Amino acid sequence: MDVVFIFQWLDTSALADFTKTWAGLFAMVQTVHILSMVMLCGMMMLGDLRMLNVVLKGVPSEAIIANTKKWIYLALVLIILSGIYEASAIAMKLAYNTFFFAKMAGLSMGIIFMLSLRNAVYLRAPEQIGANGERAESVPVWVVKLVALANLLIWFSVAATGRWIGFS
Amino acid sequence: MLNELLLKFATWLDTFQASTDLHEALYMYGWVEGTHVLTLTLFLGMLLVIDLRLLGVAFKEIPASTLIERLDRPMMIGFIIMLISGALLYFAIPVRSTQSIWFRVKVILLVAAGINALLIRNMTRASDMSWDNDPVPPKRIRIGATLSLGLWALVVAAGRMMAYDWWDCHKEIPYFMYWAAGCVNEMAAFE
Amino acid sequence: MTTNTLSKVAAIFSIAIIVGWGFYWSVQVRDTMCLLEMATSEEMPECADTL
Repeated sequence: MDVVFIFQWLDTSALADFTKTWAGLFAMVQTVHILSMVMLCGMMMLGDLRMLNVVLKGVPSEAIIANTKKWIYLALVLIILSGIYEASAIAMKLAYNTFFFAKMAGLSMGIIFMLSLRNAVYLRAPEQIGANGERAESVPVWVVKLVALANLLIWFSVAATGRWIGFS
Repeated sequence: MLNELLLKFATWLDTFQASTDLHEALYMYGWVEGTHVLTLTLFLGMLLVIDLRLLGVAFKEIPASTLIERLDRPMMIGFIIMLISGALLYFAIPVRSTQSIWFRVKVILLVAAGINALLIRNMTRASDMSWDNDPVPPKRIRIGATLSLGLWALVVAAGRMMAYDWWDCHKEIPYFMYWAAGCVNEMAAFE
Repeated sequence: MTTNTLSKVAAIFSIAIIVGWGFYWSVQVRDTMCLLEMATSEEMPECADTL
């Protein structure tokens, strides 16, 4: 599927005109993008490192995961909005940039993985990890840890490929 | 005077072959900068968790001291990696960084954020932590947390702006800006 | 979904993700090392053909 037309449309849009005119504002949006990335990855990392029993071992995991959720969603909204703004300024460069496509693949993968498997598995964490009190049924320890590692790797990749777009 | 000294130091660093090598090995420089930006998520991410708790807007069920004490290590690991990678980035491009207004603003903000962090620490230590389980901590703690988040956000912003050359020495900018950026030669030419 | 099924599905997808991105990054690291070699050595290294 050829998606170049999407970038051509974005490149000639009114938004692109605007972003290319105001360089100072563009730099500020970039900062918002980075700060939202910090919020998203920070909250993700807290949850994942908790489920790996690396940080806050013994503190009930449900409280931690529940608290991170709304910040993750807020950060995702900010990241996507600021990301579209940034993309409009360099749309034609992105259309042929492999890092950009790797990043978009990672982003979609990350969102789907988080909403489906990560959430479900963390809710059914065994006592050994979760410390939420005994459950009738729980996911094995190694599966919880594997999910945490996979999630860390996805979001690391999204952030890192993003940094790489700037260099290529 | 200080401007001359700083420039001298930067020029001296610039004479090292390793400095040029790191700058010109595009991919290696990219890895160092990538590390610098990505560890930000570890350091600032953990700080965000602590500060949101101190603001009383998140993690209210968890005692504040638990988060402060137990997230300290991952946060400091992130900070140290950032410091090392940041020093390498400075070493790769010493002269331009020294003469960057944004870099100077960033260093000042970093010092301010450091002092603020010490003040918060002393405040929490001096208090009997009777508010440890309160969903919303006392006002002075909340002010400290707000300042912390604000200062670090500005540090990130200043760092991001360093990539732009709007106010570099080779641009035509007011005398005051030459002075603030430490553009020694341009200042001499101005007179 | 039963907990048992969830465990299996989660394990399979997690492994696939780790292997997939692990491969992606191993290629990036290899390319970096190659470019580094190109920058430091006089003649073209062999790895340059696969870049």
